[in-house]
Amino acid sequence: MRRHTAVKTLVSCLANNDVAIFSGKDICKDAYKYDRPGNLYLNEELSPAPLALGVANGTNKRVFVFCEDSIFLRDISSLAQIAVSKCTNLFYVVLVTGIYSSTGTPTIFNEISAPKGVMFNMGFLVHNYTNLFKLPGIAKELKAIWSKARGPMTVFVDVTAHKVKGLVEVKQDLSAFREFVTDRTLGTSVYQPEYNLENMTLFGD
Amino acid sequence: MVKAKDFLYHLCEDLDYRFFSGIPCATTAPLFKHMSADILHYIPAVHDQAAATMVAGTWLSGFKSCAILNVEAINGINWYLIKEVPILFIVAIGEKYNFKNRFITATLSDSFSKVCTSLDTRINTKGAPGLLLVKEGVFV
Repeated sequence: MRRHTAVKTLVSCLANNDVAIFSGKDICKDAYKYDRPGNLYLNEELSPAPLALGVANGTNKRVFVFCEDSIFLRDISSLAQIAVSKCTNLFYVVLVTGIYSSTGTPTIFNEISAPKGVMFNMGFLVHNYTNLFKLPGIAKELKAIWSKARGPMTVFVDVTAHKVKGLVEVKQDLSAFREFVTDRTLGTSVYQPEYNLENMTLFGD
Repeated sequence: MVKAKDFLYHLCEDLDYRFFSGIPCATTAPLFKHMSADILHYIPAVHDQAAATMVAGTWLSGFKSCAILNVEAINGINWYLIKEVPILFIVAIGEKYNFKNRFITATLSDSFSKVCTSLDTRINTKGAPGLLLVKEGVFV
């Protein structure tokens, strides 16, 4: 699947009150075509993971990060911090192209024996949607999965890095983003289980 | 000499800084020792850049926040996006440092409440990060 199509599908699965942070020049351009309130676009130089952790700590909204594997590799120390934080509203989506999109040279991602295992052992819930994205009607399916998922979660999707022509440069409005995050009236889409097992007591306790 | 406990109380209760992150060093160690969950929320950071980016994130979610770093870390930080965010940096300085008027700065002295209030006002007026410079041995 092409990265642009994957981004389009993933953005369509977000709820109205979700926060989305896009990192990387090409992903930002792809996502900006489907711009929505609550989107933040970062260039490649700034790590999205600590920023997302900061935002997730101060809000009850779901916070999604969308980035390529090149940024994931650079972010891995901060991802350990996210795993330890146990933020249930934080979701980290990695679009795996296997290359640096600016130069086309390969990343080491595909040489790592089990990147998903690394994330799982850190303490993340790990989903792989590569095969799911081959099915028709994926957006509906994905919405249903995400409506009952809790973080910290990492999602991996294998994509191809095709550049789409005619995409415009991203214009960032930081104050509008802050207004969206701090708007308590929007509510949250974080899944609340019917029975909270953490607070349940065993018979005889 | 500034009592770390009083300084933190002023920062949290009077100036409303609630989120803290950072990397400890000998100069700022008393601050970390006197942090209390009753008045602030501390998020440990894996490295300096993560601390700076994280406090920028907490500001974006509506809270005033502060990063505690060493002077060497300031030169290594990528200021993209962070330069547009009014956050406080408490910076431990050594003998040599030169920011060449790049930031809003103030040096911590015994009259800390006056210095902090004035720096906080400048940070919020300009909408940019401010550096509170702390010399070795100031905190007890």
